[in-house]
Amino acid sequence: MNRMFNFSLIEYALLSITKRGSKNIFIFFILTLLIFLLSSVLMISDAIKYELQTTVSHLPEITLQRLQAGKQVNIPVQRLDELLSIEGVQTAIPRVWGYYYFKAAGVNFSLVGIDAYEDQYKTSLQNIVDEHNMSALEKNNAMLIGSGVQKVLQENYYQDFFNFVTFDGKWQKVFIQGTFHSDLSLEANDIILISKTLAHSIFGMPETEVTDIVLKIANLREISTIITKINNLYPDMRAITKDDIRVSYQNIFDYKSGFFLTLFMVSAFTFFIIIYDKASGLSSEEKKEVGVLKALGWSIDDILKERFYESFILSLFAFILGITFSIGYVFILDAPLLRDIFIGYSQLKPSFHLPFYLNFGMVAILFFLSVPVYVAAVIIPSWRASTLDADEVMR
Amino acid sequence: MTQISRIFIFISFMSLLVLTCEYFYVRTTRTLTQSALEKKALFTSSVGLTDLSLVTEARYARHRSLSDVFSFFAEGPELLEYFPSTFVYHHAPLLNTAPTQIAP
Repeated sequence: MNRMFNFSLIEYALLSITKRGSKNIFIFFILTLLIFLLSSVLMISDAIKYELQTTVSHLPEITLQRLQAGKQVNIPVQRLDELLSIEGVQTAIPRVWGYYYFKAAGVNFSLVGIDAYEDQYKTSLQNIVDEHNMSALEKNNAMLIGSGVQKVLQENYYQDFFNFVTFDGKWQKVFIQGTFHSDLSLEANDIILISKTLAHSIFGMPETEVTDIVLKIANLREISTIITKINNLYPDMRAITKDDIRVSYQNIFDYKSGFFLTLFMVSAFTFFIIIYDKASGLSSEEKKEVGVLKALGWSIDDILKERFYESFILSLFAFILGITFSIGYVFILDAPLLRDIFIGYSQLKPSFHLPFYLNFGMVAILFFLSVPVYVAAVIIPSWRASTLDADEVMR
Repeated sequence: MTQISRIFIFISFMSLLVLTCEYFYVRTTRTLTQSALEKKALFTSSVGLTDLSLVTEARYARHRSLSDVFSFFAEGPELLEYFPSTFVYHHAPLLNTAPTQIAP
């Protein structure tokens, strides 16, 4: 018989698992739950990061904000000419955007003004909006909305239009021209896209001011030089580069600030209880079993192998089941309950339809944090028992 | 081969089969398609804001990449964690590159 792989030992291990059924079911359940919970949270955060990373390369190279007394304020549009005259700047686009609070529903919309539907925008917008009638957009008072905005407006009986309350208390009627495609739900759920003049009048901003300016740079190597030039020209302006934003996506979840750490600590604590329970000594029945096996002629090696098979089978199955459940839970069921941690408490909830992205490194780390630790917690006490004499253990 | 071994082999085979089937099902149905990627690219390049609309309670949580230091103090200087969402979503780290820092 092959001495390396003794099938009878595996059979004995299986019988041993079923013999201590209730205890093993409890351990199996806790292990599965722990792995399921941890991998679900990590899968959600990985998928959110992946979603962000897919779009970051299409951002403008530099976003310029103006800070006054540490607070972001509007930029005078005259600065645009100076910025365009800097060598290397391809285009400079002034943007008007901000929050609009819709009192009746208690939600914030992100209002973005773009340059009155110029040709370059029209072709790209045509592809991302459900409705394909873009000609009407040239009318000044039309808007494109995200699916979340549409839902909120419909709940408040706005089917075709919406009355914005402008800064001076007047009503500004804007017609709904189309909604963004459902593929864009995570990005565009709360976005309202209107023309820039309309945004100016709703926010009550003078026509000579804009929220921020984005620069497109042809040669990426020139970015730092251009930022230095801008800083010399306008010391009150802050430049945020595409790389800054990419870095900020890397750190989107702050482990220090709590929630994941709390979750992890609770799960790790449960796990340590199991390990402690296992390591604090075998029951007298288990010790007796080791003694009987030794008296029957089993070597220490055989006993440890049997214990290894037993614990490895149990924890591996718990791991596989935990991962299977969490993939189904996150990507098929869209993570009910757990998604509430990630989408805030506002009424304007996006469909939590995350793109599938499995980080195999994360799965491997989870495997090595659960299976070998559990195996060790089982083997070490049995090794201590099996080194004793048979009659001493049985006595 | 005893019955328990047969059950064991059957269960291991089934669980691996379920995991594999589920993986490929999710991979084919939930991976971002080329058209979805193109739509996202078009949206991002025309609007220029990519932060996800998962949290809309505060501007520094919704548009966190473009938020400024001052917005954290808008609710009162010591009340940094006013929104539960800010427990989950950390403010952009580029805020803290300035010589005067706010403690994270």
